[in-house]
Amino acid sequence: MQISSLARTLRLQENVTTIKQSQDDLSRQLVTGKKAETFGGLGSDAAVVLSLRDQVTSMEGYVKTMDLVNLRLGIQSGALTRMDEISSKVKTDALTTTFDLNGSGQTQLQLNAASQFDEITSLLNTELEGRHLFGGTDTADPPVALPGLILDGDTTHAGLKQLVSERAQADMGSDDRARLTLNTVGNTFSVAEDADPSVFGTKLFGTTSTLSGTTVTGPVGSPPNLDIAFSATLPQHGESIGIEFTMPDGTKETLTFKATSISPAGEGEFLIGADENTTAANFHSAFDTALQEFTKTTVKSASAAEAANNFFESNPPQRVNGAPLSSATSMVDGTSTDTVFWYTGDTSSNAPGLAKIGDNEVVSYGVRADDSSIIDLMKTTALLSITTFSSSDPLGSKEYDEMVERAADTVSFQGQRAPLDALMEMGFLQSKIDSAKGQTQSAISVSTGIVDDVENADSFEVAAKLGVVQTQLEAAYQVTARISSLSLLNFLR
Amino acid sequence: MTLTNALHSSISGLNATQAGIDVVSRNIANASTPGYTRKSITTESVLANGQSIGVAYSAAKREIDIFQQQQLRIARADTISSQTKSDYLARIDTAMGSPESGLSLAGRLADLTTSLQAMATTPENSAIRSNVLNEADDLADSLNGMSDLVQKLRLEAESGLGSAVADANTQLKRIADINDQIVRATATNGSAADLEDLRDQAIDRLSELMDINVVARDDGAVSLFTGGGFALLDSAAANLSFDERTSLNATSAYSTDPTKRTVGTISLSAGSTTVDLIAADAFRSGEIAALIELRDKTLPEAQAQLDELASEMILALSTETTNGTAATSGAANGFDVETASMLSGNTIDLTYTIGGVTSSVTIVKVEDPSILPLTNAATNNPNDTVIGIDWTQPIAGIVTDINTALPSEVVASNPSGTVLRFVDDGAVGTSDIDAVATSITPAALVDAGTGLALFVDGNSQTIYSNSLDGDGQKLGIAQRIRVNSTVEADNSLLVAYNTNPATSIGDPARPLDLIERLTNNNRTYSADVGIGSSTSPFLGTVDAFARRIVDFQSSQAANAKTAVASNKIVSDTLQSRHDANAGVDIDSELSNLLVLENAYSANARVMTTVKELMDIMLSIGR
Repeated sequence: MQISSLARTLRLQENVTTIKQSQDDLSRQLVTGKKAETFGGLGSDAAVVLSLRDQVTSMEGYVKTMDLVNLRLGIQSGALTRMDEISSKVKTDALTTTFDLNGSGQTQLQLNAASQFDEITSLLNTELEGRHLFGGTDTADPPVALPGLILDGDTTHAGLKQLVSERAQADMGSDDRARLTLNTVGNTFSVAEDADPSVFGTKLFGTTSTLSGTTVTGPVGSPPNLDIAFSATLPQHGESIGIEFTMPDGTKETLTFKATSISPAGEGEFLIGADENTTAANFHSAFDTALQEFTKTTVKSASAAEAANNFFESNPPQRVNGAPLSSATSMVDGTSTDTVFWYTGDTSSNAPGLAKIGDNEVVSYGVRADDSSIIDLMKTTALLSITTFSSSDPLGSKEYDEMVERAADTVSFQGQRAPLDALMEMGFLQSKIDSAKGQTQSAISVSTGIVDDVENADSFEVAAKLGVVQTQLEAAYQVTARISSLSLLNFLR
Repeated sequence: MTLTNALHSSISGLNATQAGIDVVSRNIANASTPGYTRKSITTESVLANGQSIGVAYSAAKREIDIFQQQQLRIARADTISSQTKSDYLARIDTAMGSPESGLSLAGRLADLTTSLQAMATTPENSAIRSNVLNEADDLADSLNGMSDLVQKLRLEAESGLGSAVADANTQLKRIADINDQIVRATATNGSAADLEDLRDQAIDRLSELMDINVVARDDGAVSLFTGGGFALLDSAAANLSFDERTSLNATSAYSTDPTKRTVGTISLSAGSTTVDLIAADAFRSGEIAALIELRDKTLPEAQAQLDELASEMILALSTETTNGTAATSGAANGFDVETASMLSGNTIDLTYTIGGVTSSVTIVKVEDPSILPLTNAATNNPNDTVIGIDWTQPIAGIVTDINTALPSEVVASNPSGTVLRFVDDGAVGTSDIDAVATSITPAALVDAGTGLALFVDGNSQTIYSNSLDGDGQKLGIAQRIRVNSTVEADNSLLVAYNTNPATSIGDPARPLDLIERLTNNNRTYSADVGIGSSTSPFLGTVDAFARRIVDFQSSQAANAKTAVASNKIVSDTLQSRHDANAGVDIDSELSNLLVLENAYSANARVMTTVKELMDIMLSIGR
């Protein structure tokens, strides 16, 4: 079988071309470090690379989200830590405070409370790169109004002070008797609430009596009425009756009256008279005196506390309905034109913040300014800072004590959610996110490693192949040269 | 006298060697000419009265193995065919970008998802929202670009077919001419070997274009037939014509019905008959067959995949499924659905149980009655029964059509307005309506759920509702997909989904939902696009489908390349065998020359000797 000359040269040419193409591709691999320039070049590995690259991209997105969420949580934690410190300070100061008024009728505790309230509102308006953190999903605007506006209001909008004073009139009544009417007929002393239903004033709750010979009826009826009927069997010296009231803020207080036969009757005592009518009359006057003092101290304090609840906890704030205030019986919603809304952020039941940190993991995070622990602290500091006293008022000290006692109670968060609880929740979430981030990052590096293995050309392997190819090329050139001189022509004559 | 015989013999010898040298010189001169076959002459002794009186030589003959040549032509046709396919598919593969660049469709979709993720974490940041729109734009551009590339490749295939057909016609005419010349040369017993070489070259070129059968005829001419048996060259060359189109888009398609065909076809006209060769499946191999397959099958399949991806992505983002409200009609129980905002292509999904057998029915709103009735393949769900209803009639007619199509135990009615009510058979108790829901693509961007029509159909901003009217809205949607200009003008629409109460700007509900719809909700995809089968279609998220498409196209390109390599090995082997047989080896020609040289000298010597003898003879007796 002969080899045609043309075929021989063509074959050699083609082989050289193929080897050179191979050399080109290997050089490209060496320079770019990648096995193939297109997905087709990867062959059956293309599907793996596609899927892994997509996973890596989405995991990197999750890591960015987790960093951002932890940053926001960190800032909120800082703010809440400060609030926790403030509540501790208020509590300890409340234990040691004394009724020493300055020129504007306030104690040092109250002055501190004013600056603490300012600090709290500015903490709640913290923003991070334009995003307000305490307003829930309403991140564009500051969620809490300015402290001055909250406390004092402006020409058209009522602030906390105005609500407190309005409620005080409604709860205390025009005659400082806490909306109770007293009446004594013959041997029966009656005390009744002045309207039903009515949100204001003290409510009669119950009695405990050791008075002999008296019949206590009620509280019963509408409006609720309590009768104490004395009989011919007069109470003995030392026996007492305690009447329990429900305060406007829901707390219970008891006025106790002891029967005494020694004249004059002291505080909390009533003189046993000659007969039941006199005794009833004596009881009436003792009760009246005690009631008025009670109203101007305890009820007033409770009223202020409840007014703060109406302002801070309700949305919209609740105000006393109707004029005159002292006979009002119901509440009405404040509107944005007549009342300051202290919180303008998101009020829906949505989570304060939502973030997707994994393919099937969406976490809710964050704290809103209308969290109950924050409201409790704000209420307390606000009330402490707006109340004023007069050193000439004999009941001033008692009123102050009531107010401070209520304040200390609120900021000890007994059985209530405290800033510390919110802090712990955020702490747990931050560490959960941290560990999720760690896992995601290691998944990213594993996936990237696999992708690199598949896509990248091993430079040692490529260099070795290049060496082999170059040898082949040289051999092919040699053969071409040799063959070209092997022709019979060169050997004929 | 024997001396004269000797003279004649040596003269014939000289002639024979001269002829031999002539052939050797021609062979050596053409040693490097491609397509040249080695010629040789045979000599035989001339007999008269049983005695040899000299040598006669034949006309130059070609050294060629016909069977081998035929095999080689078939192999070359296959190689050209797979090379053409590979070239086109490699361009699609390149358009997907390199794996690390992230510029493939899957990469762009991943970028969109990442931008949505950033938006879900910080929805109030307008720069981040605007980035989402940028990524959406890039994705739409990518789909447009791939689509344009596919149609451009189809147009190239179309014009490739045009030039291939022109080339084929040229070769056919040449072959016919040479046929005539060969017939004449053979008749005069001249050498037709070189003409046959030329004719072979033309046939080789023709066989690269299409698969042909060569039939040799007695008078030296050949007849050519296509692989399907149509005569290309008999006594005269047939004329191939191609009605080439100058622009193609996704709706251009081949059809055996000439009124519906919007791409060119190859027609064979011989005498008064014309045959559509593509319809007759006449091309099985060669460049023309490859171009036809690319233009009518492979590239439209790629377009269909792009369209399916675009369609399912738009629907995933925008479809709102609303469950029906429970309703009763006397003793019958069922559900009411509101159909006012249904667009053409939107559906009512109904599940009912009759006698313990549960059936799923999809009622499709149609506004083009000519496409009815619809087959079950109209939806991607393989387990549903599809009912297309003409919605251009008053609602009473719609209810009638629905009731005609549903079994009698399910009753549809129109209690008011545009509400449709589906109830069971009440007291009879054999049927129960399990669920009724509407799947609607709302035109409104707010107060219509947390989905969003982020992409729309074309510059006219039509809402994409997968309408089946006409050719179907899905055909070519990848070329027409655009970002919704209303969202581009106000990017807060990416977050705000309600007006009353107004959505807070930091509310991540809509961004989170959009991410879910793209990456966590499984959808079914039509098996007509070449992925999955009709009984078990591809089920996966939109981004999984995008990756599948990239994988499919790149695998196809890689397989085509491998096919080229293996075909080339076969054709190269056959080529070298053929060349070995039919080509010129200079060494053997030269050694023949040596032999002939000696023979010539010997014959000349004989003649000289005879002449001397004759002189001696003539000088006798003087």
